Amino acid sequence: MEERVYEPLGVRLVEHRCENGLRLTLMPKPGYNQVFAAYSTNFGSIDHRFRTADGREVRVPDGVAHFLEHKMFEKADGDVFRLFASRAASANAYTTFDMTTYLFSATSHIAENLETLLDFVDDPYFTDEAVEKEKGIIAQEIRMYDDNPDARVYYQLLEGLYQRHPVRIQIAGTVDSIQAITKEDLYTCYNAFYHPQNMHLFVVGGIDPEEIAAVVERNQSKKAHRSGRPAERLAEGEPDPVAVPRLEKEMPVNMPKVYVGYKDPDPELADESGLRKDIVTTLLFDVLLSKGGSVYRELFERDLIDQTFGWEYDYGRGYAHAIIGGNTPDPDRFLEVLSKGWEKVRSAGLREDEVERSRRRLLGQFVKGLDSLRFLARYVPSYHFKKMDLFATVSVLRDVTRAEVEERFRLLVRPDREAVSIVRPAPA
Amino acid sequence: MAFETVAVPGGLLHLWRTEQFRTITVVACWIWPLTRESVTAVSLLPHLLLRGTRRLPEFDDIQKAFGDLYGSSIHGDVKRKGELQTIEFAVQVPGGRFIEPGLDLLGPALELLREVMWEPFLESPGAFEARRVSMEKEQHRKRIASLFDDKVAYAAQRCAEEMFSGQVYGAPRYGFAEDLARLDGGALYELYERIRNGSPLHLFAVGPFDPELLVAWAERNLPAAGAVKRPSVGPLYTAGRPVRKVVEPMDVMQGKLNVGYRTGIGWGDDPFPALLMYNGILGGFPHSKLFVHVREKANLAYYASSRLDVHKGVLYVQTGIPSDRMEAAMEIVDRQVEAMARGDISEEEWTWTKIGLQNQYRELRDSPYAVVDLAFTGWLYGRNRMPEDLVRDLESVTPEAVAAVAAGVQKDTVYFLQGKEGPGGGGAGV
Repeated sequence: MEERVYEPLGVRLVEHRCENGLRLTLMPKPGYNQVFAAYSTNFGSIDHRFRTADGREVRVPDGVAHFLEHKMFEKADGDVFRLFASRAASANAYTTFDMTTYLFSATSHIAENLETLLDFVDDPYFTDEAVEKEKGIIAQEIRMYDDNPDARVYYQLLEGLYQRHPVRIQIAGTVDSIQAITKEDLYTCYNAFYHPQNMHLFVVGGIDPEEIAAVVERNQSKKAHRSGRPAERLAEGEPDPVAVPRLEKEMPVNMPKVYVGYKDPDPELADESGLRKDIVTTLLFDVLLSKGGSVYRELFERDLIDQTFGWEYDYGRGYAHAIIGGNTPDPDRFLEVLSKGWEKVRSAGLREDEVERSRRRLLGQFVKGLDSLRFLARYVPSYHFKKMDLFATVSVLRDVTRAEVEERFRLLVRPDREAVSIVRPAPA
Repeated sequence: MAFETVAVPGGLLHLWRTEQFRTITVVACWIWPLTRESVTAVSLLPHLLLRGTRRLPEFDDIQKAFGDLYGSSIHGDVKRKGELQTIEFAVQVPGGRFIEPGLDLLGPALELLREVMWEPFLESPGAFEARRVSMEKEQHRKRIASLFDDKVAYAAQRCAEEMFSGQVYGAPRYGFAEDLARLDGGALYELYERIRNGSPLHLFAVGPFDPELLVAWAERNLPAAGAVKRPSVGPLYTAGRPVRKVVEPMDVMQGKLNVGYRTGIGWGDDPFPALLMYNGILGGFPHSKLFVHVREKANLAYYASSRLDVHKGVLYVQTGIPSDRMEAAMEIVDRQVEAMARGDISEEEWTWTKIGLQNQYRELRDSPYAVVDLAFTGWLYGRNRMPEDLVRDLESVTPEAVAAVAAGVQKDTVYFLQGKEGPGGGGAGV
């Protein structure tokens, strides 16, 4: 067991590696009633082609990782929600492009709930019947996203940015693609990626970390047989150029939406250098696009954005991109003003005081984020898999220079790496 | 673990000092009656105030000033509590000492908040500036229009609108686009003055701050307001009418069934904890009747749940289903409500709902905004229901009390957003 303390944040972390390879991160939050536990595997929707331990090359149907996540909750003796409910815990799960996380929150019976979490994820039970029945439920989940303009403008942008990389495929798949999913597909993926060495447990809240570590170690010691190597992922080489520079779609909405994406030329982010790049990029867009930022102002004063305006920088195995956008009354005018804003930055660079303001703002935001167990449960596992230390954010933020941020701008925000996605109101 | 309420000449301070959080959360609000005439203007006001102060005339200047306080932030919005609108400014300030020893960020953040609320940028005495007003009207028009775009939220709003048709309570969250034309700087300023002079401020603070300093600041700096009166949240909804059915066709992939029920019980009533149990057993959890029957057994939906409007004593069921399965889904929902009325509640449903709700309220203690919201609602009703109270009260709810709730539940409005039918729209495998 290893303890790490971060000052002046007042953060104490305990890290531990179980005999079978499972890694734990435990974060006590004195005064909190709640405990959040997140059990994650480094396996998401983009891991759809791989070579299994016995040498088979596999391409699974779109939406399998998410389907598997749904079906983990069903067991021979009923569904796991009931077990959690009987101990006053609230359980949930989510699948991203490169990760699947199972979690519960509770204020009592922590050790029992933790054992339930570990046991249900460690022990799959898939049947043909259960897989068939889930197709109706997941079809409705997909239909809900089909009607959601934010989801549509987002996935349409990824289709524009990427030619081959599976990040261009919706995480849940499509109503058609999930029809092909079988219980064998689920077992194949499970056996390929749900290995202790490929997983991580994060527990945060009103806990005694030593106690929690003992519970987990004892639980996992019964599961030595789960060791073994994860499958080898087969990457699809993604060409440099964007797939389609502009895509549009009509939907029954009132407000048009526009997203602009920039495909990062160097999508591998890991370790200290990856964290630094993440933070430099965050600082860059915070300077320009947060309320009070110069490009934000240009858009805001022309009534081209509203409270939905935002940006994100997202990355995982083989992909990295920045996305900027939201509602706008006039997508083309938005694009024009945005690109003029970029021109100004290109010629005049950034001001030192702007960078300082953003540096402070991000420092403060990070401190505020420490109050949200949900934020921590979302980001600690994801940074863990990327071998990044989330809590080193503060020291890196203090260290980053304006020159680095400007350099980042020149590399990332380029017309030849740009794609645009628009959703327009369908004529009534 | 409770708020201490301190009266100052400017209003009431509700303070919960705790070392649990690294952030200080301050929520300042004015209360105003919900009326057809003022609903749109009131909901526009907080956004207009954030457009500039005397000293910081531009939106940008305000944002930068907060940003300079290590990412302190301010958000303005209007919420609804029964037939009241609350004009709220929420300020979040990182505890300075977690950044640098001795750093105070709260003092300057409170000063900024005060400027935003009491020293708006004016063109001439008695009027907000025309350019800012016209920009904010345009933003507000978009706020109103975009409520249509998220269909889950839209269907919920439409159900409420149909339920309360002809009443001001049916007004959408941001009011009506047609009102915007007659709003100008003068009319808005007049309303603003009436609100700030006629409505004592409530200021909630949660986190690692010094209460004495905050009280002293408030006494010195908050403009005096009139006597504190408890405004009325209005009556519960208790119409005796036949079920109202509305089908709205639209070119969408998924149908949305939203059903409104009258319960006759609200926050201020003794059986309120029993109503929480009723809602929890029917549709509050993955073990609840709606989730089990609509989703797990019939595989008709991804989401199927119920929720309460505690001010009107109304319960809403919501579920997203294939458009050609509306009757099937409605029948399953009806059967669950009938089961509740028969007292057909298993031991598991009862216990798991009780401990599940108790867990939710204990967890709520970790969320400053949620605790502020409970405390504020409690104040409005003169009936405190803090998390600890609810945990205790849930413990003593009896099956008879839930049966009494169930006996009073009446279906009122069925709203269906009907999409197109087609392959994949049906519950595959069913």
